[in-house]
Amino acid sequence: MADIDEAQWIAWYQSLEKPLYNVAYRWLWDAAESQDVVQEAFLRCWRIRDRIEPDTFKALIYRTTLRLASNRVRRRKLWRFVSFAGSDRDAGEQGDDDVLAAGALRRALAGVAEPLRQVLVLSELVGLSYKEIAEIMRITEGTVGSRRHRAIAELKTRLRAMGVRWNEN
Amino acid sequence: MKIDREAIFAELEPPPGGPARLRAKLRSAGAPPPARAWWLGPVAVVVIAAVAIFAFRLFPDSEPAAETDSLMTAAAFDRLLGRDSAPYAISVRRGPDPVAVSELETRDPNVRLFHLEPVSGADDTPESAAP
Repeated sequence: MADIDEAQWIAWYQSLEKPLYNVAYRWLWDAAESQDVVQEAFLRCWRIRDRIEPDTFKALIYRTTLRLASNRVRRRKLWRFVSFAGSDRDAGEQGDDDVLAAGALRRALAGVAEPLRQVLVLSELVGLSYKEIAEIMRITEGTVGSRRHRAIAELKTRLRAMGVRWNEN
Repeated sequence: MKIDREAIFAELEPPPGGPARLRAKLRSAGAPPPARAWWLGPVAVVVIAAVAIFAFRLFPDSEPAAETDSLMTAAAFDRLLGRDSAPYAISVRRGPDPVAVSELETRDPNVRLFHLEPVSGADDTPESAAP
């Protein structure tokens, strides 16, 4: 992709910003930081654009975003700056029960093992196919399916333990 | 308390102005890196040269140390310090002619006896004999 220009790159960013932002947000729970992670991923890929194949770009940008978001969470833990304020602030306009549910959801999701959470967010939130997730995470489609199943089961268990019932409808 | 599946994975809108911020970041990433201090190279060369000159002046060569070693192992020092003499090779000349030297056995380890004999046999008295 050596011939790609800035305008084309920005157009790709615009088409992928929302799903990537939503993925990053489920790790960081902070709007500004999540957007910053997505932009950092695009910036890093821009620097190596002459070595990127167009077919693999989507998987690469998702993988980079996930890795950057995960690294930031680890850094936060390292510096003991974990804060649960973001989710509640973003859900501030909702009712009391919704606020509690959002906080519980966030804690429950954070407790799900990272490989399972990645599959869960990519499949349920972004709506990627098993094949696409397998390509992003470099695992087989069968593993994607089993991880998704385990992630949902674990999330339900954690929510139940917090007094929140998962409503399928 | 209940939570809907849709609520769990509700899509959120990213903050506005993302493309403009990314454009600015791309442009700053594409800008040439700040100029390096051009004077660092010449200064480094001068410093290295000064250190080398100082080192050569401080240690011009190793001959004095060699001379000291030689002096310290000389027979005169052995006698001065009361050390046992090393079995130095003896060479004697009578004028230009060499004299044959052979060491004789003694019962006192502090005494060494030599038998001198002119090689060409002109005179029996040696001109010099030094251990």
